[in-house]
Amino acid sequence: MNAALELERIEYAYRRNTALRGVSLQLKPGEVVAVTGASGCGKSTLLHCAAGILTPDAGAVHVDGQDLAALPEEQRAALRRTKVGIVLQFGQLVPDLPLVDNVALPLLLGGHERGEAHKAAMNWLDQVGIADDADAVPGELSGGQTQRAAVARALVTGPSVVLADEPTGSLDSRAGQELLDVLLEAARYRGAALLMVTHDNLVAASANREIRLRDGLIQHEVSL
Amino acid sequence: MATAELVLGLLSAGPAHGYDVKRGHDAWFPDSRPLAFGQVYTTLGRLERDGLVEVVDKTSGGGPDRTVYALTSKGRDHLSDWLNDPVPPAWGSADEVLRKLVAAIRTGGDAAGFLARQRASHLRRIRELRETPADDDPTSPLVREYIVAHLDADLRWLDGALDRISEQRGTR
Amino acid sequence: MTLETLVQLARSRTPADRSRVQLATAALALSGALLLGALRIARLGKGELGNDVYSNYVAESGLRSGLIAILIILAALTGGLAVQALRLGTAARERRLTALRLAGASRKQLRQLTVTDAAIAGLAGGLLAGPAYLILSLLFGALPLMARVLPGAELMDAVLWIPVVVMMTAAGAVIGSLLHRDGPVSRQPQSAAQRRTGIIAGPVLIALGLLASPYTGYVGSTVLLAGLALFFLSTSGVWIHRLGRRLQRSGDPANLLTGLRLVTDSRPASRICMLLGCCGFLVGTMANGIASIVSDDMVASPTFYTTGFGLTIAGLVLVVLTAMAALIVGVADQLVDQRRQFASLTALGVDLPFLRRVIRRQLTVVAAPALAVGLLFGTVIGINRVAGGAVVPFDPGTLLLAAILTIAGWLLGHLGGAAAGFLLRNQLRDALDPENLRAA
Repeated sequence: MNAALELERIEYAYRRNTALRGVSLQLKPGEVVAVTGASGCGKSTLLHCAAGILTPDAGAVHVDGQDLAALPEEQRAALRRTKVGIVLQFGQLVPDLPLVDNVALPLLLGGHERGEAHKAAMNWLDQVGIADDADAVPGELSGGQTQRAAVARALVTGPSVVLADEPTGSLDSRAGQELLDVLLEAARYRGAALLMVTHDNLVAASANREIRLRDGLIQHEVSL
Repeated sequence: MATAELVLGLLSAGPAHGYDVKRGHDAWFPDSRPLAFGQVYTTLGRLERDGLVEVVDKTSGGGPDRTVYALTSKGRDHLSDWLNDPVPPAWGSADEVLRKLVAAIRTGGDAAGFLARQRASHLRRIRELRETPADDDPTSPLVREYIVAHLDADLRWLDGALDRISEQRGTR
Repeated sequence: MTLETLVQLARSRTPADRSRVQLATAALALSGALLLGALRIARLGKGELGNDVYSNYVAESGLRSGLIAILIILAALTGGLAVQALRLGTAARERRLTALRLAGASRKQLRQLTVTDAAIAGLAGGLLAGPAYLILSLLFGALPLMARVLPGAELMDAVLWIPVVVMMTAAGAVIGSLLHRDGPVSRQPQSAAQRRTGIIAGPVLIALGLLASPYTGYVGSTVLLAGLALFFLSTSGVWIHRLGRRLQRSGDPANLLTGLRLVTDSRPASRICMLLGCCGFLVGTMANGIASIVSDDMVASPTFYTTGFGLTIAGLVLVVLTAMAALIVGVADQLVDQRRQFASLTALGVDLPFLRRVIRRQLTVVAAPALAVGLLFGTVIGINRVAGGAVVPFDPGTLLLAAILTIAGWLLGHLGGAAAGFLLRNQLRDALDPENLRAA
């Protein structure tokens, strides 16, 4: 069986400093992995490379067995849209769109009819427990609610991999715990592999594996 | 209590008097209660009985303070086994973690590996606790939250310790 | 992406973005109206017409082509304003594009969205161009005969309106496509090499234009204007930066903040500076023209000339006002984007009058010198040199006029700054609200 996500010796350098010096990891379908490490260890860069937001200087990213770099731009975008879901620290929703449109966005961009996309979006909003806020715009909601919407948006296309960068980072511990449960449940429900970058131990505790980075290298890897 | 293993650790550098063991312990843990002489000698006696240490020199006149002890190979194995195992993440286990870490660093053991295993052990415990809901009575959830919060605090310290150890290793 | 999705996603509903699209729409509407006017006059044919029915400008075939050219130039100038408006990037907009990218939009789709957004603005502008033209022709109809440079609207205009709508939509799409950037716009200052080219090429073009205009006529004038624009654009970057630096070293916290804001984001300021400088220059030449006509007893019909110059000045002032509006909109957007920083200033004891002072200074240090310098150059160089007519030596009257206009330009710049402070008072209060500290 193919790994849902496979990173092969990823290297990435910003103008001044090297963030990743050759990191490899594999996620099996349904697996939950936490990437931890001190600030600046390269963990967010790793996630951005996996998401195709950054293009690694060396190494390869495979999603569902497909090499991202080998695909033309349009197909790569389509693969990212359908196979990879992303949840970032502050939700990163489109500020002027109602939640239902925000969640339906990946489907709409993929050319689905509005009615059909909305239906799927409503299902996921219901799944993450904010169906009542479907018509609100992100500015009117709490941090926890926007993050829930981000989780719904990440899962609406039925991805193989969900990538989460400090998903609870902007929330207090109770809201963070609730969101984490929602995220785990959603990924499990969909059977998606989940890669979480976090410095929150309670988030890391919910993983099957902890990968700790230091100075752009894997310092250790333990199964939990 | 892990006083016995600490004594083994203190002897790992070479044979020593009971007095040196006490002084060594107090130097390793300057912020805790000093080790009592009586406790040092009873511990050494028990370790000798179990074959973990042996008497290598005995000055004439032969009181306990004149005896030089050394690790046996069995004692060395016991020490390294102890250092390998993470502390079961239970209530009040933090002292034990600290003891192991200090002993591991002082005796040149794999401190980073120990910390990594300890983190995993703590993380597993948190997950177990989160997966089994607390009993529906007035106090159980409170106790549960207390334990999780303390495990979390330990984990944060473990995290910092890992970074510090890696830094030290990097600068050396 | 279906068409419905495209249209829905292209239209941003954030206030900062909306104001920029509204400004672009208004500019394109005016541009379209001017184009309709040009077409209306062009339809009169080539022959001479009676100047008892039409203004001389329309009646005489030679002047008519010039009038058409002026209307088209004005249309292009206002179109340029639409470009400026759409160019005013906001952090809100960049956040939006990032969010769309995260949701899986490809580069092509993002380009489609930008183009659609601008095309919708163009469509709206084109649709508004009809009514705008009607209003303009009614307004001109109320003026004395000589000033009626737009003959009344007729049914044929409605038919020609359709191609104008199409054209404005296309213009919007082209602007959007040209302005689209992958990823956020870099805030890097203009490169030194680029600037050097402008500083050298600008004056060379100006000199070339001035020397060539007696022989090549309007071609020379165009070269001159292009050189002027290049010169203003390249030098304004330099002196805005230098000014900002000097202000930053000042002991006055208001100056310090103004300097900081100028240095961090000098591009929109230098663009508007260029526009204001060029407009000032043109107004100056027109004023010079009026002065020389009025003082010259040989001219048979001064009203004829003053009408021409006056109408041109009115058009240019309109452009200046819109440019000021663009500058104000830019500042407003900045306010929205930086509201967290401003809110934290509240904690340091910064109050509304203080911030208003900062904003006023930020606008006036750009607008006042640009207008003043433009007017000074324009008046001193004069219409004759620009248009390639006979060159008269400087006379004291011109210099006096130049001095007066320079001061007027300076004052107008300050007035604009004060007006902006007044118009933006609500946004400023909003930006200082400590509530902003809570939400990103």
